[in-house]
Amino acid sequence: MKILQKKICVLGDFGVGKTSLVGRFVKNEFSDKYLTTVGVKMDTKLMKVNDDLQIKLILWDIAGENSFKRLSKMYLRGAAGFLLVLDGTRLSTLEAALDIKQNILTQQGDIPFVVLVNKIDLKDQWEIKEDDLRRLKVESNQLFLTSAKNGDQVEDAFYLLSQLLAS
Amino acid sequence: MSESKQTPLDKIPPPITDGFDEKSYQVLKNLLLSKERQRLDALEFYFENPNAHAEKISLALPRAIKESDPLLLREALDEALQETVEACLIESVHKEPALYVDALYPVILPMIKKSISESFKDVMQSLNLAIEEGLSINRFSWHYQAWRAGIPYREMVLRNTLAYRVEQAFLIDRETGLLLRHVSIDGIDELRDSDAISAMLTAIQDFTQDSFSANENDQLNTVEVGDYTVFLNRGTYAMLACVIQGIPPYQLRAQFDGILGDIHQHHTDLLKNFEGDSAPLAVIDVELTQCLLSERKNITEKTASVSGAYIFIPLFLILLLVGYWAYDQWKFEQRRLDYLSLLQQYEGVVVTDNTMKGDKLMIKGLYDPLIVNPSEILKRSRLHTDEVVTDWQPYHSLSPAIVILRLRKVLQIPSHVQVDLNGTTLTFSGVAKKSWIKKIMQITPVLTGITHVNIDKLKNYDQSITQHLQPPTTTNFSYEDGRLQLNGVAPLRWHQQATKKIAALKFVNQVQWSTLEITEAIKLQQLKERVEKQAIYFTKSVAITVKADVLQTLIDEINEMLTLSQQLNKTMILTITGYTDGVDSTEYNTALATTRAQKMVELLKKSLPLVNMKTAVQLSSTKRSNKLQRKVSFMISFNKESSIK
Repeated sequence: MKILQKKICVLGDFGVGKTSLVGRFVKNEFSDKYLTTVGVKMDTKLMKVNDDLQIKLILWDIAGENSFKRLSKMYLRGAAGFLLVLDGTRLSTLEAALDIKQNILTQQGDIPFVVLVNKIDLKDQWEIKEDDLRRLKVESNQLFLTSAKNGDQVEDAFYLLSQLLAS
Repeated sequence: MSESKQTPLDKIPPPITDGFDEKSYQVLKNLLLSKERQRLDALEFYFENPNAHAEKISLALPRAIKESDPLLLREALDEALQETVEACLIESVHKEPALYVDALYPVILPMIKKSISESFKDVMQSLNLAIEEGLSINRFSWHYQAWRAGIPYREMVLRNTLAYRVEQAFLIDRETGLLLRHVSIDGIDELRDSDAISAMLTAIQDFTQDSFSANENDQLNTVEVGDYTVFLNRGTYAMLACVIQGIPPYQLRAQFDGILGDIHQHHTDLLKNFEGDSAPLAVIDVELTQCLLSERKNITEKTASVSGAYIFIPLFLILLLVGYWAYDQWKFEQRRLDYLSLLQQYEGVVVTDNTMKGDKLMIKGLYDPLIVNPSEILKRSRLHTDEVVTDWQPYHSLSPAIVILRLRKVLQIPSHVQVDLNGTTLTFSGVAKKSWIKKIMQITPVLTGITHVNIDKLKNYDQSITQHLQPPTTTNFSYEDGRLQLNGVAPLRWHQQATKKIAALKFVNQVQWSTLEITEAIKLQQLKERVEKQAIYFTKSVAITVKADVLQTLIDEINEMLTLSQQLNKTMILTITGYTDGVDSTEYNTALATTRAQKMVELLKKSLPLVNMKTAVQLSSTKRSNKLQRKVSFMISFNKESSIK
């Protein structure tokens, strides 16, 4: 079976739950201390796309505090796709996410990505409303309402991104 | 069969034409198509008989294979030929094995030799290493280090004997940080997810470049972590990261650069067109494996030179320990024998058993508490008290010497008493107090080992002194603690004899003679007093007025005194003093008194020539006439005091 490696960046404002989502998705290989020192943490996950192909996701979990600063731009180099993460309970993360998306598409070109609005388990506290979600859907074809806490739609989001990368 | 002989032209049906028969048609056909028919026949023969074109194919085939498309036809050709060639080879080898042996001999023999040589070299190296390090102190140190690090011992040996070793090599896509290829040496626990490692190395490189340098050409070249160094070399499309254990030489980086350059040169298209599939890049592994270099530390000579020491030092130490142990055992045996010999020297000690229990000497026996203390004997020996365990039981020894010794302690036998034990009969001799003699008569019969007591030769002090000195009845004595005091009167002769005899009385240390008076001395004193009371009177001149018998008595007494003084070892001096009355002048009276004294000396000298005589004058203090002052008097003195008063 063919295996393709793909570099995937996990992006979003600080505190949106990027690391928790990745942690829910993969078995952590590296300590979170990398996030605070180098600003990025690596994880890998092998996703089976079909009978002939597997995609090995090399996940670059980039610290939110560095969102799209110069260093982050270096980390984005060569990315095959990205996950854009928002925190449903903070409206400000929506604008940050849209900025990031715009910048990365400018830098990397039209590469596949999926949007994850996280913390669906705290739906009653959400500041991001249906209108905002509709707006997001326009901006991105793929939108997932996820929960790193209970795993809702996390696997689906990563699987879809793998499908997009394979196509 | 007839159909098979037909040519394609024969199969063409005749056209339908009026007035044109079959025969004419055939003639016409031959005229028009005879040449083609011949070519078709030839072609038909050619295709029906492959052997006919083998020659031509043989000419074209090598070129056809050479110019075939490597991706399409070559692969099909290989596949088509593989089975046939294998079968041919098998068949051929079975038929003519010698042919292949001869053909392969120049190749196989060196291969076998090299293989054996390499194997033997490996074995010898392993053996050398085992010998060199097996007995060294390194072994223990490395075992400990391996235990601490949680790695096998052989791995720790390699770490310590290798100057450096490239354990893993990562070929990383420079653009994406994706892992292109990864190789590692056998037996090494590979790092965790090598894909993530690859990405992380890229990220760290970006991080350091961003953090410390604005220049894009300044990049991270080396990462050092504990015993590990990671060399990062970069090519156009790929980065080479080599994980090195130990201290790599500087030149190693250049070697890596060369290998990375070769990889770029040989596989440019693969690297350039990489899109995540690393499988086609497997061909790079051969070159990447060249990065897995290692170098042993140059310690062979050192270890060889000291390996002998490593072997002999422990042996020497073992021999030293064995020697020390043997010497210690020998010393202990000497001390044990000395102690047993010492015990045998003591009366009243009987050793009933002596054995070794572990490293301690077990001694069992009997001892007479009155005579000896075994603990004291042990202290006097060269054995340490903690080397001996004793079990002594008290008893009464019947050895004559011990019995007598016990008697001496119990009876406090005086030093002038001799004791002799003959069987069970105890004989005392010598001198002792009456009271002590009385006591032994009461105590001795009940002592262990004695049935009879003989004191016939034992005297008390008084008996012994009386028997020995035989004092006169006028003499008595007292004796106490070596001091003899003599009292009363005794003749000079007895005194002299007793003085000598007392020396033989060993129990007499001091003699008090002062209380014993000598008979001769008393007599001398009496005569002296009598003579000095006498006076010889004169007339007014120098004529003697006394009678002859009085003068003779005086002479006899003085003569006896002379005899006694000589016996008593004294020199007697007789001083004769002349007197006068006070009538005349002093000068006259002095001359008269002197003449009277001299006349008396002359008179006595006639009878007492041996007596020393002197004269003296004494004048009267008055001027009156007095006939009692016309005299001479006598005074006797002894110029040497005798010890006898």
